[in-house]
Amino acid sequence: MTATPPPPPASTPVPPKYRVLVGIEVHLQLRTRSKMFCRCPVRFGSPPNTLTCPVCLGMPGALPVPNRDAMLMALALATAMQCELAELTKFDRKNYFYPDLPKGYQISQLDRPLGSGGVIEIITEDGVRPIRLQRLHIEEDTGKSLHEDAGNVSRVDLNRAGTPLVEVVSEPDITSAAEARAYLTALRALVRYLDISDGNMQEGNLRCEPNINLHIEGPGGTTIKTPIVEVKNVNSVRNVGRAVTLEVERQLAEYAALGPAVADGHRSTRGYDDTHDRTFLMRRKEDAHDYRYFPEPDIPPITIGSAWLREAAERVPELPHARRARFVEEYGLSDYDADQVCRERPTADFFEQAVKAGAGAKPAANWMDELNRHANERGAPLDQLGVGPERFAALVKMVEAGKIAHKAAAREVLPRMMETGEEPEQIVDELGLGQIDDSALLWSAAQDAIDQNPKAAADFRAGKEQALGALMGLVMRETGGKANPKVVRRVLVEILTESDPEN
Amino acid sequence: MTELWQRDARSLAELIRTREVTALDVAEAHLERVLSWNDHIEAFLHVEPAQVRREAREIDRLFEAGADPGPLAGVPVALKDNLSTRGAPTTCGSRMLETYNASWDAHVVSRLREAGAVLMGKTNMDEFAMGSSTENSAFGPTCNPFDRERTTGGSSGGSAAAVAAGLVPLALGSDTGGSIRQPAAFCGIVGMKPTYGLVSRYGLVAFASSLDQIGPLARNVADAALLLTVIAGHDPRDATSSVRSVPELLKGGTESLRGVRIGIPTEFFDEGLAPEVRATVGAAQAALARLGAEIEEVSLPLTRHGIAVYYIVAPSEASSNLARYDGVRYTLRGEGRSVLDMYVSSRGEGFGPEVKRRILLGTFALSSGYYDAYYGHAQKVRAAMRAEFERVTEKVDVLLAPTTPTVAFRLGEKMQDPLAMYLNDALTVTANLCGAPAISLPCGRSSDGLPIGLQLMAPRFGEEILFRVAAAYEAEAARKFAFPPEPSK
Repeated sequence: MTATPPPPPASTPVPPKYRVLVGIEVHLQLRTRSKMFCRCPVRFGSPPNTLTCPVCLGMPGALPVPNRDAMLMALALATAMQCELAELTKFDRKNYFYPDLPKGYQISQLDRPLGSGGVIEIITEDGVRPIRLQRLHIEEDTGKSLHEDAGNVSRVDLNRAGTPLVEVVSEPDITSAAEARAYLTALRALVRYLDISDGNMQEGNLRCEPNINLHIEGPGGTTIKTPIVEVKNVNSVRNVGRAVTLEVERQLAEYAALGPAVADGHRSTRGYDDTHDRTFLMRRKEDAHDYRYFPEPDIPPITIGSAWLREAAERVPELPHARRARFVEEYGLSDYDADQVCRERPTADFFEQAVKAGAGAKPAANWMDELNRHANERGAPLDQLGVGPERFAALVKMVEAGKIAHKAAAREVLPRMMETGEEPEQIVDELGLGQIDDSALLWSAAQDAIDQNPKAAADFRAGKEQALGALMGLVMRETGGKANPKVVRRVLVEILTESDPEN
Repeated sequence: MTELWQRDARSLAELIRTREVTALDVAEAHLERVLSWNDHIEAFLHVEPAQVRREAREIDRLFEAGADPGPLAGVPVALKDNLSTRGAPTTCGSRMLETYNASWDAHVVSRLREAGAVLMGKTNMDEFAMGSSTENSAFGPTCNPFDRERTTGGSSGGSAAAVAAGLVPLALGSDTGGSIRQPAAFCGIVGMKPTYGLVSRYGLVAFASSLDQIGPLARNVADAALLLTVIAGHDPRDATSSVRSVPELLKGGTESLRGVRIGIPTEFFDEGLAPEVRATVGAAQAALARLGAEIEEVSLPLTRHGIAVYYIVAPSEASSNLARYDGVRYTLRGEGRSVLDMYVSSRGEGFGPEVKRRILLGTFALSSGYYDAYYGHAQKVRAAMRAEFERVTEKVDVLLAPTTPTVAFRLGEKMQDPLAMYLNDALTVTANLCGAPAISLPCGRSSDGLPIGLQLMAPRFGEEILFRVAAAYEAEAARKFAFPPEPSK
């Protein structure tokens, strides 16, 4: 039977006022050596079912033993996010049948999660804003089902089964696509600072499911709440923003069509389709599982004692927001520069070591993009580029002292330092890149330029400052680009003002 | 002359150690017993004689090389078929696992191998240990060696029958609600359930994880203590395994029980008790008093809810533990056009009726909207029972009760009445729900010649006093094990 749709609301000339509410569930694979409940290695890209044992295969009689290191990593994250840490935590079984779930249940945490509450600070164009967290808990990952296109064959790879996961659930404090992206960026930075996860969405070690709905201002001051939609298959920071945007549009359209009756709909799960940039219905609430949670009898409850808390706290380094603030305070960086430098811990570490080795903070900060570009091209971490912070600082200092042009330093010297391991002075000498800094030497070149272009000289004298550019160009060409532009400018101005016939 | 198969484990170990007989001699004597008996009682599901001989010869070789193969060197031990054994079937009495061979040894099996035991084979059991008569085995029931019209009890019925009929001197069973003690009582032998956590469950196919414990079956108390000592102790692969050191059992020999306080819980002597059982257990109580023990009546009122709590907790855990048998990997696989169809046919064909009944019960008890009323409530009562048990056992050293309300019942008698079958566990589930150690030892026969079991319980990790009282009773009663008559050809 199809119900007659209610009449659309009387056409309103202005679009309705609404608030966007987004809560995000994030699953993070922890970078432990072994799995959550057995000793199999955690690794990506091995041949199917080679990283398995009776425990993660769910063989009869096998038993789970919690991985202490995973517990500590999760505790460190909870500490860093200012969660309230459980004194007594326990595991629970979440029961459902699926071929890539070998035991027929997932070991998770229901009512005594490792962390409750907490906060993540996000940075958007509007500034810094805290997003409250609901909880943080530990669970195990499932295997992977591989469906072959041809024929009715499905295969199961259990290499991933039992990989430690941390689930972080936010409150619905996120109000826009930009904030959703910023939330993921901040969380990713945090786990990388803590060195507990690669946080790589493409490889699936950071997975996120935004829960999105709208509070729409309805007729007569009522608030109409659209049903919450959980979006799955969101595989990049960009796409979490897309998912929010698409859902807001879709839910507004639904309101336009149904009016206040939209609030009677059910919670649903939709998938994000990357190829067509759309979301599609996966299942409605009515089909939801009854997971029959109950306490995992194979693992006694765990008391989080002071020794654990101390160990976890020791794993928490200076975190991005604190470091940002310190860099602004201590090194005089702008908020923007400090944020750029502090997003990734290796970048911030490298920057700070270079500054301690004598590099100026502002120029060093500007160099970090260049360094990261090289690191990305080489697929190597920043500290394995062959240029340590000290030698990098030496190069920055040469540029600051006007001994070499920035462009030449970036294009020629830095790549060569990475290849050969030579000192920057040596490379500059060998390649003859040193700037001509001797104003006496420049004097004749400048005089020649003025002689060759009397119109420019006259224009400058007449007050057209931009005319100096032409003269500078001539001097630079004459000196093969090695002249220090600041010195050239000074010399030219000196000649032109002194020999001003009218003065 | 005493035949080798009539000897107990300690005397066999001694004979082999002193090289009066070889491990192979002992193995052959017991293989012969298996050959003459097993068709009549179906105690063993799998015996591989060539493998048994290989293991025995290896023990002999080690002795000849001057090595010490361990405290059980050359002693045959039977394993309940829910203990994972490398390269051998581990069927759990189920069609579901009919073709499953474990690729690794359970912790207790490793311990037995390290102790030099010769593994005789795998014994019959109620499917996935769910039952009290071994009639729920997919491969047919085990018969009581003393009266083959009757059950051995269960679920470790195969292990109990094998020990009683002299097919092995020792066997391992598992006890979730009485599955070692009740068949031990029905078969006239000693069966013991250790404190929860004393023996690693790694490799024991789980029925109800918070209740399951592996324990010894033997023909006397000292043999049971020997086997328990071999298998007990911490195992990092089981998170519920205790780190306490294993108590030294029976180190003092048999002595008087002066100063030992024995509690008689009135709730265990209710109307349901058969008069012969009541009288025989009463005589045992008197014997203990003669040894100097102080006998006092105690009360454990909450134990009246034991069966109700047990039949919520155990099926709930079982419904989850048995979810892994889905047809995807190592089990029987049914036909199906979809994954769901395949699950349904695999589980429909693979599980027997009692297993299905308990999965349904457990699934219901855990389901949303019913959890609090059933599982949640049962856990609260269980916690209260445990507190009560601990309070009472602070005042007395051990508790004395019958193991079962009646002697062995007839095969088929309770198969149509699950509730009557469940009530068989009424006196044994308390120890499981409280995590406490308990032992059943023979204390007499009924007028039909059927064995009656005496149960002793102690507070958690009270194995030392439990075995001391059991051994003292056994010595005082001077009860020598009498083998069942040979089956007629």
